[in-house]
Amino acid sequence: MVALALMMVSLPRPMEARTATRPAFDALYEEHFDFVWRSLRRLGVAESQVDDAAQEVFVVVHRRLADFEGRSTAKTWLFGIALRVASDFRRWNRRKNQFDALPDDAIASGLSPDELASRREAARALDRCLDELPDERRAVFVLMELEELSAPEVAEALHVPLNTVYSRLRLARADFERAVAKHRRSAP
Amino acid sequence: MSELSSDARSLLDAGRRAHDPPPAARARVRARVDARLQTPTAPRLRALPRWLTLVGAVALVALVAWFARRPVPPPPAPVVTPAPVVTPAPVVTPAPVVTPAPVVTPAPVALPAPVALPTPVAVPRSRPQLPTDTFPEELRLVTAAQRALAAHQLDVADGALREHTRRFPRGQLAEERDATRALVTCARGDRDASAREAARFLAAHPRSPQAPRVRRACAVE
Repeated sequence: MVALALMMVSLPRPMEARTATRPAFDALYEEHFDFVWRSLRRLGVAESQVDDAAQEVFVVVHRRLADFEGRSTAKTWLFGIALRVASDFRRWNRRKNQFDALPDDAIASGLSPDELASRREAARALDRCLDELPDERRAVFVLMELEELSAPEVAEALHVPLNTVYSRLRLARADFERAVAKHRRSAP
Repeated sequence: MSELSSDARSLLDAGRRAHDPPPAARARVRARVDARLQTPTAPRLRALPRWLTLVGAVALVALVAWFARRPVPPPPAPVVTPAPVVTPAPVVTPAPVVTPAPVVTPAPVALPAPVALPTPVAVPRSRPQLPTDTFPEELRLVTAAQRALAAHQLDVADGALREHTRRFPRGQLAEERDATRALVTCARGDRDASAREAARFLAAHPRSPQAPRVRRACAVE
């Protein structure tokens, strides 16, 4: 028993397994940063928290890069991580009841005020409708309808059978239609 | 598979670019990631589990010691044990009524263990897996075709699709393969061939979730 206890103490921690190679991480970051950011937003992370969430995703990526076997595409692997991080942030957000402050750099985006306003409005409208979808359907909908990934890729990203992807997509579309109709009705 | 209405589609189209990161975000987040990676992990996170595991270990040892020392409860009513049936040995001694029998037999008595049998029956339930063994290979071919299409390497994409057709004519990803084939044909820019291939796909899979994409890419109304 004592031996078991000692073994528990001396177990290597995943934190210490930092074998990720820097160039591979740099390439992943450069190529997929926008995708990760968009995915987090579309999975319901508040605008004021995407920096933190994206940071968290890439810290996890760095730690786990050595475990990435290349059996899935980098995009689907990253989405799997983003999905879990987004879920944590949403839960935390609900508890803290955070408000969504406008980050400073939204203003410095190079868009005209009108363009910025219309982009923000489009984002809000889409967010409101996506928020009506249950999490599992939302992930499928975001990947297929917005990122235009194929069903097999989505199956791979979410670790679910292909048929499940199709049935979630069908349900998600119906949910989304209802949400669009609801928000059209309530729009001034 | 129902298609999205034009209202829903236009909301999606309008929102498609709306979630792009602002220009400064990439560098800002990168700086923060680098800073996090250089601090050898928050000390609190590191120390806490070690501290906890030590306490846990000590608690475990104490628990075991307590169990070893605790007074043995009186043998559960030897009356319940028609012990002789289970273990014929005690029958030899007429004394067992007083003591010895419980020492040898109480465990079997407490063993209405067969009741626990249902547990193993429930265990074999495993998580649903992707359908069959051919799926990974199918996935590899279709994904290779899709990546080649994205890189505009149309001949490579065609090659992967042909191989998929040859090896898995009625495979689980036949629909994805056919959609990708239509997209490849349309990417070649031959209008007649595009229209033909798109029509063939849409006739075969009118409710496919890939149908809108094929329609868009092949400019089919």
